[in-house]
Amino acid sequence: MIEWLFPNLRLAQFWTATLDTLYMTAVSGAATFVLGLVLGTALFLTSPGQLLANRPVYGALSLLTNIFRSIPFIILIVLLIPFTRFVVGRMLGVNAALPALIIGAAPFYARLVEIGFREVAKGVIEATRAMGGGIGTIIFKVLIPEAGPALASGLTVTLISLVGYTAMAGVIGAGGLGHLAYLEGFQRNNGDVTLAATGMVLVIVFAIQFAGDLVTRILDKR
Amino acid sequence: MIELHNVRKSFQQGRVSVPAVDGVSLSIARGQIFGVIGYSGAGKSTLIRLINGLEHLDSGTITVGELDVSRAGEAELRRARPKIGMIFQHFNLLWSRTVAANIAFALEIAGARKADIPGRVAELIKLVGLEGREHAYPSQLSGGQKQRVGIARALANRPDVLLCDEATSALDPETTDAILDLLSGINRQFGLTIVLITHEMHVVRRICDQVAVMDAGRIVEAGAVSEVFARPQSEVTQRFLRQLLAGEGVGESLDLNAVDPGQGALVKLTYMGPQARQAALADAIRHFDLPINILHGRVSRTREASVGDLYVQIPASDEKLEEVLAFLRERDIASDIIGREKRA
Ligand SMILES: Nc1ncnc2c1ncn2[C@@H]1O[C@H](COP(=O)(O)OP(=O)(O)OP(=O)(O)O)[C@@H](O)[C@H]1O
Ligand SMILES: [Mg+2]
Repeated sequence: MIEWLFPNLRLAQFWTATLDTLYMTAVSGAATFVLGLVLGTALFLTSPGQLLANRPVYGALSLLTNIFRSIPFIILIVLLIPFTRFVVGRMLGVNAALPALIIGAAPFYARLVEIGFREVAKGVIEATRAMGGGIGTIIFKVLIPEAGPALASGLTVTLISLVGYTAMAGVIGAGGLGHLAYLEGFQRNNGDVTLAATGMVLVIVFAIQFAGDLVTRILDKR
Repeated sequence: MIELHNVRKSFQQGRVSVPAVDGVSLSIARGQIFGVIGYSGAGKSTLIRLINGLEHLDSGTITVGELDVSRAGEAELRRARPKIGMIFQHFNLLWSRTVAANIAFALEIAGARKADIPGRVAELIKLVGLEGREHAYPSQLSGGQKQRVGIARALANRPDVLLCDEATSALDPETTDAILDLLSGINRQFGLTIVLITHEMHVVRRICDQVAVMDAGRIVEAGAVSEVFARPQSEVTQRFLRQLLAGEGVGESLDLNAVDPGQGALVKLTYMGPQARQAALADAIRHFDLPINILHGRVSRTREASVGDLYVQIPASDEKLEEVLAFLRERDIASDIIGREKRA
């Protein structure tokens, strides 16, 4: 059946490409989550009227996130080639894509974190301070749990963009489904391979969306 | 317990500096329920937030027990705050935590031992009457129940002081009274000092011992509730008093034509003063053996005395009537004779 529908598809290769895409998405997703959370928290706390309000710091962080958020991903990859060589050592393979993926997605997620924290009622932070809570309590016991649904739905959106980014990274040789679709499918004129790769990307995106919605719903006690 | 001396705080709004608290001095004794009443923007919230150091004053001194709030650093304030509970108009609960976990939050912050938390939480849930709801989330509770969680959370670390910022302003009248009764009970049971901020006269009347009237950042009048009610000096206080009486339907139509002048003199009694008690009228009835008839009006009880107006008909005239009115006057009940008895 599969051979009849996709005569040019080599299953082992397809499977490896799928795993590569999942690997790149998962690792860059995890790093984006942590970095985005740190950066988003810093953005929120230093913004005007908040606990650590500081105009220059907020301005600098804000500018930085906006710059990295605005650079088209394909250009970001090229710009980061020297940096990636330095960190990863070589410019091929799945790990080569990671720095660009993380630097492209973390500022985006940071903004979503900042917006999520803004939704947390000011009064709850006030109540926490009135009970004697410090900045650590406010971050870990108030902001993050109270913004849980926003953090989860933001992460879902970010992971889906990351799947798209990995496909682009594939074009410059990072492996994965994008690489397969481009090299084996497009360049060798095997339409069936491109189609199979596209189908698998869709399955991955739908699965992320489904899981993300589920987690968001579970966290939402409002 | 709480002393404020010449406290000032202003906010920068654009280019101008707006004084929110403008030279306030107050002395609140241990175990008192102290009300601060004022209209919106009077600076009440700012005042109460200065007491636990959430807001830093510009000048003056504030002490709470042994702690000099006006000089204390942030770390010292944080350590002191578990002993100064606070409740809010909009409850400010964590919606991601259950009732029990919201109460536990206060204990976690104060560094309670993990093993001690469940027992203390159960005690508090019982104290505020929320048995059976400990696993509910705030979104599943009514306003009154949410405020009960707020109160339990504020009491978790056995504070000496409870600050209430418009704690009943988001509640309906019945729930307001239930919450006020709870606060009053806690005050008696634990000897807790309560500072209560409100714009409702009803709240002050129902549970406060002392009241300060605040207007434009200043205290315009302060004293025992019955004193302040009896002799309102400032225009703001008089406005609040009218609000109270109007809210209870006094001064609404009393149909004078329907009063039979043959049944006695029509008299308006005004209850105002520390001695005024509702029971005084019953005493007069017994003392003079006169069937005094209440026609209209309402007297409301404060913690120590009563306020309000009553229209009564007293079947007596001349000297006897004067005797009755003198008897009432001794008990801080003023009278106005509206119509004399006419015999057919
Ligand atoms: N953080 C702030 N920044 C600037 N101005 C403020 C701030 N907080 C309060 N004010 C100003 O201080 C004044 C007093 O405010 P406050 O909130 O203490 O009044 P309030 O008596 O509690 O009023 P309400 O009954 O509406 O709560 C107001 O003019 C308000 O605009
Ligand atoms: Mg206020």
